[in-house]
Amino acid sequence: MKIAKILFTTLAMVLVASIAFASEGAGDPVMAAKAYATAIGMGIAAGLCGIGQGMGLKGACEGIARNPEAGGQLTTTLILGLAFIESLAIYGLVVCLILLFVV
Amino acid sequence: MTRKAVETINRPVERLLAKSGFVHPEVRLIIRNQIYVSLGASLAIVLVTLFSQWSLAFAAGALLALINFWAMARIVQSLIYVRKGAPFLLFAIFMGKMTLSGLALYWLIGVHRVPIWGLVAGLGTVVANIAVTGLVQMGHKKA
Repeated sequence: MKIAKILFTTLAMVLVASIAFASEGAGDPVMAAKAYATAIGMGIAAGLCGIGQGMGLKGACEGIARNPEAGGQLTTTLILGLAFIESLAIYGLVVCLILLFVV
Repeated sequence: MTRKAVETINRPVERLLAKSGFVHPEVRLIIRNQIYVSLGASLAIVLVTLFSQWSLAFAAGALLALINFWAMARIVQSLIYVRKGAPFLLFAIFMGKMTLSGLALYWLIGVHRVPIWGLVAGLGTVVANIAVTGLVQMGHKKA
């Protein structure tokens, strides 16, 4: 909880600082905030999807090691699960690109 | 009659998939379905809307999703069935796939400014295919 509080406070300071610095010079503060939002959003999406895929792969490998005959069925289920998770990561990338270039 | 026509279409696709390294029949079935969904839906929408921007965005999204799904299934197959030289192959395919997907999406959204909903709908063909395949599998298990 304490770590999360420190993390969010640091994040807020960094974001506010970028806008404050941008207002003095040539940069666009909205664009700077968008860049931060995109980077943070994609980082969170990729990280969580990576954790999900890793957990799924770990479970499948353990299952196949314990029961090699079930390998075929497990592979199919694993591919379905990984494709679902990967779709989420791709959607995350699309949303981030929309945020950066379209909105 | 219809079954025969479907089998005639399925045979070359199955042969191509088997040659591409998809050793497991169930995995081949999923990939085959994805090919039919992606290419069939793209072709139908492009023809019905007479090559509109939206339909081309849908086709691009569907193609991108198909390539991603193909590469991912190939990686998982290599990981589980092929042991020798698998790590390097997996790494190469994975990095190539990620780089190409990222660049393609950047080009489509950032440079070319395609209609977003068309692109998202095209990317959603994978989710639709997986959901249907999962439900069918569940139905087979219960029966």
